[in-house]
Amino acid sequence: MPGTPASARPSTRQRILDATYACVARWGIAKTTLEDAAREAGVSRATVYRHFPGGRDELVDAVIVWQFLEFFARLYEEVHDADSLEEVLTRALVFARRAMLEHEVLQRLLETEPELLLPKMTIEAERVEGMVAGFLLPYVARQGVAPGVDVHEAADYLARMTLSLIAAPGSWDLSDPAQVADVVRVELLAWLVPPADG
Amino acid sequence: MTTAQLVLVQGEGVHASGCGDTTADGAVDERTESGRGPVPSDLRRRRVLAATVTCVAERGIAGTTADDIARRAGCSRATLYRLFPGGMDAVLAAMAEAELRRFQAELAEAIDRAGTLADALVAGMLGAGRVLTGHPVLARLLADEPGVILPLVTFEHEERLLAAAARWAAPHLARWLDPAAAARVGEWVARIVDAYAMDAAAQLTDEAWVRRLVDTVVLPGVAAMTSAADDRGGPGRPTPGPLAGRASSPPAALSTPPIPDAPHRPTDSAPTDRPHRPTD
Repeated sequence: MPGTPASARPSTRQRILDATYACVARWGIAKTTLEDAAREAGVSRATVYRHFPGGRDELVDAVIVWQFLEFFARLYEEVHDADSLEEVLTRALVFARRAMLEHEVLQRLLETEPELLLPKMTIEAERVEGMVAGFLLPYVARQGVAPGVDVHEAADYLARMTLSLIAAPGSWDLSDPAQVADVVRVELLAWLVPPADG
Repeated sequence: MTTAQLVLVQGEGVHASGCGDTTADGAVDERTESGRGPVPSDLRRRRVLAATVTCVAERGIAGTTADDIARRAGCSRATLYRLFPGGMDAVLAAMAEAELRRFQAELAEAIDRAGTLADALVAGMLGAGRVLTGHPVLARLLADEPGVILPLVTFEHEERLLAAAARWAAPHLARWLDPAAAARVGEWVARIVDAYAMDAAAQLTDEAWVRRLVDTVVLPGVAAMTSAADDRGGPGRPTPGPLAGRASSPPAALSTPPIPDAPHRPTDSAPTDRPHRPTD
């Protein structure tokens, strides 16, 4: 059934994505061709085009999007059973930062081909920001906010700041629990959570 | 693409003279060239940099040649290369540096005029918001050449921008905060700007919105910071030196004219710059 939406044929599509990812990991983004991906996946060029009509560029974009969502799916697994907003943010910062640094392919591409990777990642990050804010919203609502503070705006702030800290911790060492606790307490939550001693 | 991208960061070693006077509109004083002897090279450099802003704003980096800039600046190509021996690379780096200095000077003035910490933070964020939304070169690059500009402001470079912002802001916030807290607040506010810049920069130019953010979000955090410092008998942060650890430039930077080194690092120098990277 040519023309079937890709989602209806997850296995072939996924095999192509896996194969493309392997090629990108090996050769980088610029040097990965559609033929490479097809060969690696053991399918024909026509099959790849059926799933990715936009060809190589669409394929590479799809791999980035897929990896991005994969990353945040893992993050969700890590934090979804946390009890409080503080715990969600703490776990998220620690896990995501470590996962990012340990992601060898990502780190190498950031070194070698940032100009190809970042524009796409920035677009995805904006989309993910909305997802993260949506995920945080019930925690914020449960936590409660000061009068005049909108819970959506609060969740939006927390999502943006958390993603920013993950991508670029700045002077924070997110492998140090004391520092994570400090940035969560002050920069993220001071305006929502009353100080412990106050 | 990669060349152009390195270009913008390679400000190290290229120092724009006459900083602070480059105009973003590319205006060139035609009269000075006539009559009274040779034009000082300072002024020529500034003309070239102003012309660069105009050309890049119109056509992007890829679409701008040394000839375009020379023509616009009213000088010969040879003169341009004499003023900037590195050619286009050097011109672009010097332009980025000059624009950055101009931005810092404006920001410093606005912050130093503020009467309260809240006013200072609002002024800083609004200033940054205006540049982000209004700078012609930035707007052009974000729209048409994201591959050039994004690597300069994300991940590793974002780290350096944040560190530089913190170092830069600290002395300007010293009226209200101890040095560690000042650096921490500087980094925080820079991060807020950064976090909203990409898709919500317009909010950063809305004074009421920015003030509300400062009042409701930042000030409670500053209070919490200070109370924690009192509790633990130390300023700012419980764990070692916020910025001291990763800043590669000498700490004297705090008292000297604040020129962030951030956007000028060539990517190649990164290893020396990232002590925390697991190279082992």
